[in-house]
Amino acid sequence: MTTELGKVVDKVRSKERLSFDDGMTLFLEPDLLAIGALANEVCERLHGDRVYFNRNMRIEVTNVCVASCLFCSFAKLEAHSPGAHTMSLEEAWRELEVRMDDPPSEIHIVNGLHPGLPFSYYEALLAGFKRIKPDVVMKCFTAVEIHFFAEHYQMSHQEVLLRLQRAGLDSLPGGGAEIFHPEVRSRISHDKATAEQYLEVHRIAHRLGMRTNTTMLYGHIETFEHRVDHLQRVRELQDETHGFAAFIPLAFHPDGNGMKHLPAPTAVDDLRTLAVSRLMLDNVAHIKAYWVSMTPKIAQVGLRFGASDIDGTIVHETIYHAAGSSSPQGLRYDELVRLIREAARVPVERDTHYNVVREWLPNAMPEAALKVRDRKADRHLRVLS
Amino acid sequence: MSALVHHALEAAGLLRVLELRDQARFSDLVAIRDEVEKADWILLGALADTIRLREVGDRVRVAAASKKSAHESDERGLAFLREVSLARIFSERSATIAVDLERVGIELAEVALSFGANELCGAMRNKRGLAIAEEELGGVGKRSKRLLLASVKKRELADVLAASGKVAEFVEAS
Ligand code: SF4
Repeated sequence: MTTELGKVVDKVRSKERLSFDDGMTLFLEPDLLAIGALANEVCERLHGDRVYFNRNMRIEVTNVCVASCLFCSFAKLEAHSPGAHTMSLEEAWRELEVRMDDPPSEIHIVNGLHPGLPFSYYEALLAGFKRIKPDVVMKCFTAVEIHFFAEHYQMSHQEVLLRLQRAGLDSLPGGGAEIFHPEVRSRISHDKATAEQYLEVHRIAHRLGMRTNTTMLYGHIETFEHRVDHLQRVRELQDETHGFAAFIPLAFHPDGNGMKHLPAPTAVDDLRTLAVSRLMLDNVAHIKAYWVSMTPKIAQVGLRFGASDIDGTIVHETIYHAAGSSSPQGLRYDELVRLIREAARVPVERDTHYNVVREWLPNAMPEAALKVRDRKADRHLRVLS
Repeated sequence: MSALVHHALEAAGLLRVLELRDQARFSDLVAIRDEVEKADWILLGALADTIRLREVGDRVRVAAASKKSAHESDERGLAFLREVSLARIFSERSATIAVDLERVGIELAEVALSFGANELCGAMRNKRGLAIAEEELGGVGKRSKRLLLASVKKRELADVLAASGKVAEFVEAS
């Protein structure tokens, strides 16, 4: 172990805050499993064996967007461009209506920045979902969308958030953070909310009583320095508001976008980034292994690299799939439970605010799942002496 | 091995495995298998990685075929990595532990290289994790495109391995 890593280990164990240099040490340390084990220690200190997930549903009501983020494979510039779609309110609501026999507890909506819709569309959208299922949690519109609404409909961030809250908004998803550092942000998404505007929207949302998530899109043109800087900015706002429920590192996917010449980050990078996030963000309760971006298998491994949440059933994701994700579009409830149990963790179904809906008792698990032999491994593994 | 890992292996009584392997006392090693298997997953991985580094170093043989034959399995990540670790821990010295890229996917296969594996075989199902620009494959016929893709994949796979401190050594797929 390098002396630097030794110092970081001591700090982590004495619950001391890690510095920028410590973050760099963690990203540059060659011993991946040491970083993973350390992050796992912190995760178990915070959450024991529990891993959280929810029954959620993704809807993208429109992919029409005036911005031109280089990494985006989802947006269409014009409403009449091939592949552009904008749902009518009835179409959007129907997505929930057809699932009322096994309803989600959360609806997660993110969209393009559509210049042609009235603000009342979004208010009606939220109100309509709440009419169908009054207790569904509406986690909708990234801070980038909220900022766009403020500019486009000439309101303050607070006015936008208050009006949407009155219509049924409960929480904001974390998308749109990308990389905060201007050296990167100005190159990959120059024409949408700045880092300061993104953080300001979350600050106000927290002040209005919402708990929100935040993200980091990594593995493209940014450096490790930019990643650590990003984590520090999240940590600073969290010190001030305590409003972030979870941090979600999002792996860049290159298909069909302006950075398709770049490779996607490797699985080792995915795991390391989860672990470093867990170690740096000492004031954020949960680090999420988003299975859509890193595949269910690697997300499962991520549960031993500092992640305490694996997102949810999702049902129908299109943003990552437009960028070439090979993950399935949804995971069944029982598949998520199995994935978590096989990691020898206790699955906890939660709502958006991390209230427990259902918890599997540890002794309800058939046996320490990791000690069950993988009976198919022989076919995928060869030993040659 | 980092001090963190060393202490953890010591606390779990797993350093004994390294001694037994160094002394080629394989029957004694097999005798403690049940005990070793009780160890935590990441410790087994760290132990297997240490053995891999001591016995076969950082070279990774890549015998990736260009023809796809099997479907990627629904293998869960952790159970598979545990099997890879156990295979390394209980195989003869300097054994080749090969992971099938095609069945487990490039992502998990790459992680398996930190859990004791030292060979990748099979075809790649997708190119996530590899920097292959569409333009790079344009303007050539189908056959040439296939060959070109194979060589670009090779180059990029070598880069991926280099990023995790490994050196790719390409061999003909059998
Ligand atoms: S990432 Fe969001 S804001 Fe950027 S182009 Fe895509 S949809 Fe628009």
